[in-house]
Amino acid sequence: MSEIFTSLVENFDWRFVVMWCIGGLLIYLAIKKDMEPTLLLPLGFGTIMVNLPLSGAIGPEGPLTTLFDAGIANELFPLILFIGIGAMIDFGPVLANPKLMIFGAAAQFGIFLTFCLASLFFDLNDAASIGIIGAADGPTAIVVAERLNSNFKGAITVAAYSYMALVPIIQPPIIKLLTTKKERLIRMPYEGKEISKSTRILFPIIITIIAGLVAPSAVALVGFLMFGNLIRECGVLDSLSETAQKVLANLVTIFLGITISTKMYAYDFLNVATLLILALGLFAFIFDTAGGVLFAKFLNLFLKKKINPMIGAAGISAFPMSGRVVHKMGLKEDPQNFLLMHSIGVNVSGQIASVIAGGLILSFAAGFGGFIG
Amino acid sequence: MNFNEIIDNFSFDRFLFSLSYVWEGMLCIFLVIGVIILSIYLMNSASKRSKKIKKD
Repeated sequence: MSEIFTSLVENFDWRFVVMWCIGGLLIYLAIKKDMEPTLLLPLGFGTIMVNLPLSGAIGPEGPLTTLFDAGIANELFPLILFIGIGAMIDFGPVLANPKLMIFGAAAQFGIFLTFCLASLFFDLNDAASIGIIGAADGPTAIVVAERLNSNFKGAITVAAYSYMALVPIIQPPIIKLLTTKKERLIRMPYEGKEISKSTRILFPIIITIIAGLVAPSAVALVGFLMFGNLIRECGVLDSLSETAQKVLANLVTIFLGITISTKMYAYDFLNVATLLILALGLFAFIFDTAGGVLFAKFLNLFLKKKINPMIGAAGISAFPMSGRVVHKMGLKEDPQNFLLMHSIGVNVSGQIASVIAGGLILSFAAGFGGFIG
Repeated sequence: MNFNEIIDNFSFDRFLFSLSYVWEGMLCIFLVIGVIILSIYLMNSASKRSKKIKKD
């Protein structure tokens, strides 16, 4: 008994208590505030498990470490999750109005700008991994951080998922700051177009080929996402589509959340670098929003039929939250202005653009000698 | 990394090097998305044409 007590005292650290509080906060945010509960709750609980003295959950024989090596170190869990996400997404609004995809591209500005800013303080691998927080996509952030062997995977994952959940708080002030009342009142009537089944089937195949040719490092990310979508759209694999959307996605999410918490170990997480990463992550989201809105305003200089610049902000990959935020802001300004189909179309294209951005970051990393397979 | 390590690791040269990736990254992504948009228009157009042929 005294040995147990001695061992506990010797291995106890005040930092563990801080991490328990952080874990508790994540759990609170997940349950009480409904902020990305599928990730924040397992992450929060895992944080507590990992930060107990001599925790048997981690280490050479720890199950969390085993799961990490089995599914995160080789990027398998986030890629499998992408199959489920692809099966959930309806690309119809994008296929009906393809030019909206350009805002998905514009809203990735924050990724590259944050990479640049982060490189002031961090090595290029870590800076690139921090920049990808701006992709507003958990699996992409995990894959890139893992592939670049970033030292800050825990902080990056927490930042990515937390800010995704905070989109309804982060985006509206930025949008209001960058737009005038007149611009926010621009109406965009929706003319629904029927999209043929063959287009819906060809779309994921063609995206994979195009993205794969430009950024070979993106083939896994884009390919798994599009594979999931192909299962959904082919029409002959309904049971697989349903399994991918529900069982597979939920199963992998459970493992992903609790396993990534191995990177929430007190000695790795509690430092100034984590605070800096959280700040840079917020910067990425802000400039993603700004990039989309400002690009829409720029296009309006040349267009006769103006675009409501708010939809540019929906190009951030936080699907479908960002699309809904923009739609609600539109309704607030004008109860007759229904922006939903446009904003969701932009939001969906942001999902594709963010994955391509992740692949580009990995391709660039190969260029500056940072690629670690 | 503690505060001193972050300050020691400060590098303006690295910042200048990575600045080019802002331009390159955005250009690449616009190009890729542009090609995808074009592909979608071609697919939609081909689909309309084949529907028209079937009707005729």
